[in-house]
Amino acid sequence: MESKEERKPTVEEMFEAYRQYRQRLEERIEQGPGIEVDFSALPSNRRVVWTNKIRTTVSAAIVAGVLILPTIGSEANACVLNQGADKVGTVEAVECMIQNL
Amino acid sequence: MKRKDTIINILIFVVIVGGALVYRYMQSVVPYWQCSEVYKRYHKVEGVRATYVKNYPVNDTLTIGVTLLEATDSAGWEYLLEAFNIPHELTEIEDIDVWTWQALRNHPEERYNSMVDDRQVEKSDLEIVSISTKDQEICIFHTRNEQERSTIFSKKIEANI
Repeated sequence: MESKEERKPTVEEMFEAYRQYRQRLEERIEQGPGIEVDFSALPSNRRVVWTNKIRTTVSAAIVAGVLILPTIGSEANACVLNQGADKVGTVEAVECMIQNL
Repeated sequence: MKRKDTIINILIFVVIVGGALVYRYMQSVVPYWQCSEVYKRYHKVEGVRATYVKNYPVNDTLTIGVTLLEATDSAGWEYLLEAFNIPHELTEIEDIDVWTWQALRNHPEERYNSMVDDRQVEKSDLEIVSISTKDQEICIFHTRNEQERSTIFSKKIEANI
């Protein structure tokens, strides 16, 4: 007995299968009671893939922009300390030191 | 194909948003390599809390780097006194809490007095070091020129008017 090799269909094969399905459906619609379907509105398989990628990239860019925008041109960078430092306490201590120089 | 595309989409999203988060974090924290030499020298010493402030605003136009060394216990204070060659007698004077001197850049323990010192030192290589015996802390103002040092002292005068 020959073993069946499972092979994923290529995009072209999927397109062809879809085209044949559409054709059969159209024939049945012609025979049927006047159901109208606008097939031109259905997206192609490749377009769906790239649309998802673009949508993901744009969404991520918007989220990244929301995160980065407040730091641009703001005074937040004016006084930056090393990691874990107590900013308020340190600034107060330095200010006090200056006043008592 | 669908699973692979989902993974790629997730990766794109994570890389972009992750990069933005890293950028945001970097803006709010001074990385270790940008901290002062004094900070790097003391930040791991037991009993001493070292803090480096980048762009401390002295006034509307001037910002400087400042390193603050705070003794968290008596051993840390003893260590600082010894490291900075400060005699104990100085800490016992009640009338004066804060002592200030000029020192060589990155060597705050080496006091410099232009009146008596024979060393030829560029004025841009001097920093202001200040010690508070009451609060047990040492502050190094990393000034870059005479004008910045004058501005700091002017701020002290303005604050006390």
